[in-house]
Formats: sequence, structure tokens, C-alpha cells
Amino acid sequence: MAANWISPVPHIAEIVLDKAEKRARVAVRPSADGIAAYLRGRLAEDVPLYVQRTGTDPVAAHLAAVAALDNAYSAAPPEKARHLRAALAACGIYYHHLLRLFFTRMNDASGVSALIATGEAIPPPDVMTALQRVRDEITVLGGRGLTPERGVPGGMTKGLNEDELHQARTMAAALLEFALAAETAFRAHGAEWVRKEDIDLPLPAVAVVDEDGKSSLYTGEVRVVDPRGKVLIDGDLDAVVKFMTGDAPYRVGPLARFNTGAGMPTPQAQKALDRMVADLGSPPLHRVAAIHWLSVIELVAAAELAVAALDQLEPGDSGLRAPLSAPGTGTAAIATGAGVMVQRLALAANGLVTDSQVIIPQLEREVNAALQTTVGDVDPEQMSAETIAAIEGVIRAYQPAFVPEAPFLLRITARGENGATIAQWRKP
Amino acid sequence: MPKPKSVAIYAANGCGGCSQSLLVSDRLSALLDAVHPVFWATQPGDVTQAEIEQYDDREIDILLYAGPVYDDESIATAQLLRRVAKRIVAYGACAHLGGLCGLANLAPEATLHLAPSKDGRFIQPLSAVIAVDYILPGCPPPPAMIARMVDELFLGDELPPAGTVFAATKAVCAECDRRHLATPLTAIKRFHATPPDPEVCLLDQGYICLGPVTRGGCAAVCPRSDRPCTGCAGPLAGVHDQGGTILHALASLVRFTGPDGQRREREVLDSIPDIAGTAYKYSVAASALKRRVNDGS
Ligand code: SF4
Ligand code: SF4
Repeated sequence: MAANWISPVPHIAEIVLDKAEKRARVAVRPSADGIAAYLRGRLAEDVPLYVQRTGTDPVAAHLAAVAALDNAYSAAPPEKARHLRAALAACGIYYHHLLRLFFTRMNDASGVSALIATGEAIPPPDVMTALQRVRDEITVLGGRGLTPERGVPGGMTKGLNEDELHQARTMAAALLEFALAAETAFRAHGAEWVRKEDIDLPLPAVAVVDEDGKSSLYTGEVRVVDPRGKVLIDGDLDAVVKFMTGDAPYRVGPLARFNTGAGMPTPQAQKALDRMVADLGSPPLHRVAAIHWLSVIELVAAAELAVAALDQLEPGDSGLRAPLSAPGTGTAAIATGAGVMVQRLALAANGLVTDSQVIIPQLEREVNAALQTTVGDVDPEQMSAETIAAIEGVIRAYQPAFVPEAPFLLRITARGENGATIAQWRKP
Repeated sequence: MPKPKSVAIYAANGCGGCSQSLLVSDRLSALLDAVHPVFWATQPGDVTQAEIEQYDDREIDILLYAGPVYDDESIATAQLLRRVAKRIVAYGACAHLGGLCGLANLAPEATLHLAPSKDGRFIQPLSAVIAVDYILPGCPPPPAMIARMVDELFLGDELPPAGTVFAATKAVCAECDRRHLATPLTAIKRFHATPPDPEVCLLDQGYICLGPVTRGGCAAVCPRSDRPCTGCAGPLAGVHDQGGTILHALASLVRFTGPDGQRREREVLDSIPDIAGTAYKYSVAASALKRRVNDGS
């Protein structure tokens, strides 16, 4: 039987080397751009359901659509709905980071549980429990585990009863406990790798900041900073969209949040961040490998945010929906595990979608810039073992993993002038 | 001890939700303890056609296929997988019915990666291109249905009969505890604009709920969240066209008496917005509609 590969979470798997371009780049994967074609004519209230099934972070996609609908219907959600959404958003980030950290890199061992942590940092069953727990938390808060469904323009369809709220708080506390244990374990097992990895790539950063200017894992203003930290755009969504859809490479995700916000939004995550900076000797700024460590720290922040949001909630279904005004256009941006998502919706008077734009975080551009800087020009007909190793090094730096040394699947395809495949390498 | 079954998961054309639904399942550990995993592919680069070709005919005992098929390449991959797998499960609404992206079959200029393009690509359910042995419905499949599939297909001594659908045979309504009204339907409502009464059947209140025409097994999660069932588990056994069936049902539920009754009934039925997205949300590609055949001009 041929070699096994276990890859339950999508990751950067294929690099293309083009004879004409002479450079290595990530194979273009399907994007959500085309969703506009089938959203046209659909019910506005169904948009949060459609966009969460486009291959992007489903909790964040749901909440970004709901936020765009709030704006399209000029309906500011009541406080209770905001807290419920905030708890859900935090769980979405937690789920995203848990998947990326523990399930992206796998090998050919005979069971996922055995693959979770190639090191012995965290017992694999604890990781599975945390994953199932965050799924259950999203189910309680949002009605369905992977694809929550309670967001509506102006609020949420349903609140939590007393039992559910108790259950949600208990689970959030356990998620925080796991995140803190993960942070301790990462310092012991993963930090060394981050310390010695030296891919340093200065890029502008795009991220959401909260009202105190700290990194936001949900709503706030979108800020764009240059590689030295100078603010280029602060909250102007039109300018942000233009920047994000332009040609220049930029950074999103945990390292971009680090460079854009004034620290973590929660106390224990801030302490963990201080520990990381002290350990590294200076702020990582553009050190790509820091993404791993920052993802673990954001796991702590997300759990703390969920705990805090649930503390603000009271049981009951009342006061969860604001009245809607006539539909118009609405744009919203929210933080996602991978970066920033922007959704724009234009609605007709009957609440059908007439136009839409969904901008999802694109890691590919940043990776391509890193490949160009680190690997340089490559002639696909003159590939050497060093070049392959250099490409692998870049991709390894970018795949968040709790055990950064763990193997991962990488396929490199060389194409000749007519686009035909002339050679392929596969690792492992 | 019997040899463990070999299992492969091909989810390269899906949105990732189906693959994750299995990953987070409480039964995952039991499944992996009981089987020999061959591959788990979530994007085309994870396992290529050339690699699939290396397997012998029927070498893989069970293959779970998630996502739709939509072009020559995905059809060819599905055919190869059929050759190397003894049994194939259509996992999730995309493989089962074409899924949400099947709505792109109706768009004249769709550009979604899974959408029909100028060279004639369009979304199809897996069973349109290869024989499928089992169906696991849902978008993504709910935990209880996944557990049933794992128990029956992987942990049991005998394989379930071909054609098994790992869902309830009764409709979602059988699992929904909302009470019915005896009054006829006189207006179509939308749940975002008018919050429904939490105790009363959504359809009876005028919200288009696909519960009566959709397979249960999900514990009616959507009506429990105060929103109508969207039909992700597909039609009941023996029903070919899920959307057409709910539209027929609606036509008989809307009733007015008096001289202008018929006109008023027509007005209510004509007021249903986005019929395709409402009645055929996941099933355009598997329905009588299938796809747009003109070029939209
Ligand atoms: S059935 Fe639903 S969850 Fe599964 S791949 Fe299709 S859209 Fe995604
Ligand atoms: S139609 Fe919908 S709300 Fe009514 S009983 Fe069936 S599933 Fe429940």
C-alpha cells in the first residue's frame, strides 16, 4: 500500500516553480472571491450560513456576515447579544488555533491521537478533549458545533438558559486551564525552535485593535501599520479594503496583531506575551517563527475573553434583538484566527442580496514574499537539495504547530515554459 | 483477530467542514483504534491522481468522500477512487446532493472555484458520476449521524446494507417539539425580520421550514435555535425533489376562503423570496433543476 498521509486540516502543501517566473510560489488555492456570484439574489439572513461554508474560518465568517448585516439594517445589537457574540468569537479563535497548532502537521502513524503532539508536551487525549470541548461550547452558544447559526442582523436568535450558561462557563474555565497548560508546555518544548529560527521578513501589518488600542480577537478598528510600526490606515474601511486587495504583500494573523496592537487584550495573555519577549530578548517584530508562540498566547487570550464575555451574560432570551431599519449596504471587518475578514453586503428593499464582497485573510502573499527573500531566484531545471531545504524551511516557519519540528507534507512542482510539469518533489 | 479495515478520507473539494466534523467527533479515537488509515486528504495536493493509481483495485476497504464533483479532473479523481475502494460513503451534503455551491449552477457568470465555468463545468453530486454505497447527510454531518456511521460501518461485525443512509427515516418534524396550529397559513415570514414564537411550529407561523421534507437525525437543531430547517440532510426516502415537495406542501397550506381566495393564495405564494435558495438550498444539483442551461444572456 502506498505511503499514508493524514491531513485533516488544510495547510500549505504545494509549491510551484515556474520556469518563466524563476521563483517559488504557493500553488494558488481556491478562494472565496467567487461567492459573490451565488450570493446574488439570496436572502440576506442566509448570508451568514453561506459564507461560513466557503473554506474559511466558519465561526468568524458567520460573525463577520452578521456584523455586515447589522450595518446594512442599521441595527446595533443589544449588550446581551454583543456579549454572546463575543464569547462565540473567542471560541472561534480558540478552535482555529487549536486546529492549526495540533492538527496541521501529521505523519503516517496509525492514529490521529498518536500524532497530535510528536513531543510529549501535552497528553494527546487532553488535546482531543479540548477540541471537543470548544466544539461543545460553540454548540451551546451558537446552536451548532462547527457552523453556529444564531447570529441575525441586530442580534442573536436565542440566548442561554440557566443550565446552558452554567455549562458554558464551566467549559470556558476548562478551556482556559488547557490554554495555560499549553503555554507552559510550549515554553518548555517549542521555544527553543523559535529562538533559533531566523527568517525575518519586514512587512506592513493589518489587524483589528480594540478600543484601548490592544490586539482584538473580534471587533474594533482595522489598523494598517508599516514595517516600522507607523500607522498607515486607522479605521477607514474603504482604505483598508483597497490596501488588502492591492498588489503589495502584507501580513495578517498573530504576528500582525503583535505589531499593530499595544499588547494583548487580557491579563494572563499579556503576562505570557511579556514572558515571550523576555525570553527572546527583544520583540519578535518580523520573526516569522514567533507565529507559533503567539498562537499559543492567543489561545490563552481567547479563553480569557470567552470567560469574561460569559461573566457579563444573564440567562434568558429577552433583549437579544434590536429592531431593523430598511436594508441598505453594510460593511464590517472582524479579526479571525488567521487574520482579518471583511464583508460587504448590498441589499435590495426586499432584503435580497444585490452585491457582496468577501475578503478573507491571504497568507499566500506573505509566504511568497518570504520565499522570494529567503530562497531567491530558482531555475526549476537546476534544483538542488539546498534549494528544496530552503523552501521547506520557509514553509515550516509558516505552519503554526505546537511541535514545530513535526513533519509535514510538502510537494514542489516544477513547471516548464509551456506550463507542463517537468519534475516533482515530495516530502516526506 | 480480523485484519483492521483500511480507510481513506478524500475531502479535497469540500469546504473543510466535513473533514473537521469527523476530526472533532467523539468517535474519532474509537474509529482510529479500529482501522488502518490510508490517507486523509483535505486539498488536492495531499493525494494526487498518480498516487491514487498506485493502489490496487478495491485495495481500500472504505472511502469517505466529502465535497462535490465539478469538472473533468474531479470526476476523473472520483472514478479512480471508485476503482481502488470497495465501499464509498458520500459524506456530507456536497457529496450527497451537490450542496450549497450547487446554487452556483443557476448563476449565469459564476466564478466560485467550484462553479460552472465557461467551459461547461458545473456542480454534481458524487452519485451522478460514480456508484455510491452509503450516504452520510448533513452540512456538515451532525455528531449523532457520524457516530452511527462509525458504529455501523467500522465497529460492527457486518457491513450495513448497501444504500444505507446514516440518518433517520422520519422527517426532522418528528424530532421537533414545537406545537402545531390549526389555522391556515396566510403570510410568508422571515425569521430575521419577525422573531418567531418559540413554541409554535415555524411552518405554521409562515416561516419556510424544510423540516417536513428533510431526513431527521439532527435533533431538529435549527428549529431549536429559532430558525427554520434549511434541508441539509436531503429528501426523505422516495422523494426525488426536496424543493419541489416543500413548494407543493406550501401550496396546500396557504388557504383563504371567499371570492378572492384564490388570488390571495397566489399572492402569498408569489411572495416567497429566493425560491431556489430557500427550497433547494443544498439540493439544486441533485434536483430536477440541476443547472442553468443557457448562457444567461
Ligand atoms: S457538505 Fe457542507 S460542510 Fe461538508 S464540504 Fe460541503 S459545504 Fe462543507
Ligand atoms: S415544520 Fe419545522 S418547526 Fe414545524 S415541526 Fe417541522 S421541523 Fe419543527
